[in-house]
Amino acid sequence: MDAIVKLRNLSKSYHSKEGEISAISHVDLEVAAGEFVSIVGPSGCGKSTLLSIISGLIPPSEGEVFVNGQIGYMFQKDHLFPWRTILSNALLGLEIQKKMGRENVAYAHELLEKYGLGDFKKHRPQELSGGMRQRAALIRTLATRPQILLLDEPFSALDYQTRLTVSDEIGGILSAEEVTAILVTHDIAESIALSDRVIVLTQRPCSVRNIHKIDIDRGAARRNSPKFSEYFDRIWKELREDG
Amino acid sequence: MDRNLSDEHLSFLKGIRRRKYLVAVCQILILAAFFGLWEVAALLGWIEAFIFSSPSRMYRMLLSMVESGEIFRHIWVTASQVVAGFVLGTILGTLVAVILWANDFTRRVLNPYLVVFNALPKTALAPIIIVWLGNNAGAVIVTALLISVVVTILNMLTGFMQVEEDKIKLAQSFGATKFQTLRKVVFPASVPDLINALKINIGLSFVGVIVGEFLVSQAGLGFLIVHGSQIFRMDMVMLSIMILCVLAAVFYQAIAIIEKRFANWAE
Repeated sequence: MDAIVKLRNLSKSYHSKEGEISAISHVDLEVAAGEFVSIVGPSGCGKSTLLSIISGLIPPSEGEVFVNGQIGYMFQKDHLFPWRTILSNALLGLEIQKKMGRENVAYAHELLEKYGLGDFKKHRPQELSGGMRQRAALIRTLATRPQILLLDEPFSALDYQTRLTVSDEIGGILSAEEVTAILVTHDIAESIALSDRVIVLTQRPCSVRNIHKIDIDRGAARRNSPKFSEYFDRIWKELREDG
Repeated sequence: MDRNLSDEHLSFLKGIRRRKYLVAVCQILILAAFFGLWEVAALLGWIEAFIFSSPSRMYRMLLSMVESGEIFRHIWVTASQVVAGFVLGTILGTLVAVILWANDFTRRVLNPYLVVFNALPKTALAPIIIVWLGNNAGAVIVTALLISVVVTILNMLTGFMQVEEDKIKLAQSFGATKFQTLRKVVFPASVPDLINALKINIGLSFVGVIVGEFLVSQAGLGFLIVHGSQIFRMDMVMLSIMILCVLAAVFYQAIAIIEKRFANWAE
């Protein structure tokens, strides 16, 4: 399969009066179309910066970024606007991109129906549960038909139970819609449960420490597989040695 | 509503109603006592009615001014100037705040000037404005505008700057331009700040208009107050102040209605 995202020798430094901080140092990474990749690393390393660079929101200091497709972004918080209904929140991306044609709007409706928000189109986000809100946020992004989805700890604001359900749900939606996903998380279990590959980063300035190919059947049962805890232990050990 | 309410809940609801009723009664009583005492004091000669006026004298003054139609003209002049100063000050202030939000460099450059201008009592500028613009309604409106514009700029700018970074990033991830970010995210997110600015501005606009009318005009409630005190018609002065109270209450209520409409705007 062809790589849809390619990072070559990527570095990023931040400058302030106090000096220069190197956040990312020489990262090479390839993500294939349709793949689900997770990035885990010690907190405070440049995980989120990496996503911002891939999305083009900030430029790298050094190295090259190739992105072959349109990007969607999902954040820690759903950022649904309280002054908009769920439907009009879901249409935000299309509105900004001036793609409010009948077909695209119908697609947004279809996604809302398909993923259980059909009855809540006229509701305000305040009236929905955290899990439903996160699903609405995902639909807002999917409505613009991105080929690549960047997820910046999108479940970490949810409580533990909701989090398990929502992450499985969203994993399911993403594989159903055949979107390539790059997930940044500090939750090792989540990364193993959802991805094809888990990329472990080092302490700041972060670089790739190891890449684990997750060889367990996809689905909700993944967490029960004996291999799951093996992966968990290995990744946890790598992170701990580094921390 | 559920018909099968428990006795405890019923008595709870009754308590709330009772309390609301009591508050209203007390509010009316204070007003009645104030005017009653004033009238009695004037009648019995505890205060000099010529200087302090009295409710009945104010009422007679009101009747005669209603008969001549004069009072409506004065109320109209003041009310329209307040609205003009208020609307212009809010729009202009919001526009300047947008420019400062969009341009970090301009914001840094202008910051000290804004701070000083904010601290300056704007009424001190009223005489200059009258010299420049002449003895007319325009000068009064500009005085009112000047007083409310700086507060609006500072309030709206704070609101704009406090919008979460990720919300802006979200819009940018869809490829939003700066103007789209403003229109779809930053401005709607700052609507509660705008309503706060409206609440402050209506009071400030009144201050500006009355000061302006003190200094220049030939009409308006501010003019009536100054004119009445000059010719020693305290009935006219007191009546004008009473009408100002009512006018202020009406405007405030109008803004409260707008605020209610946007009640579910914020998170």
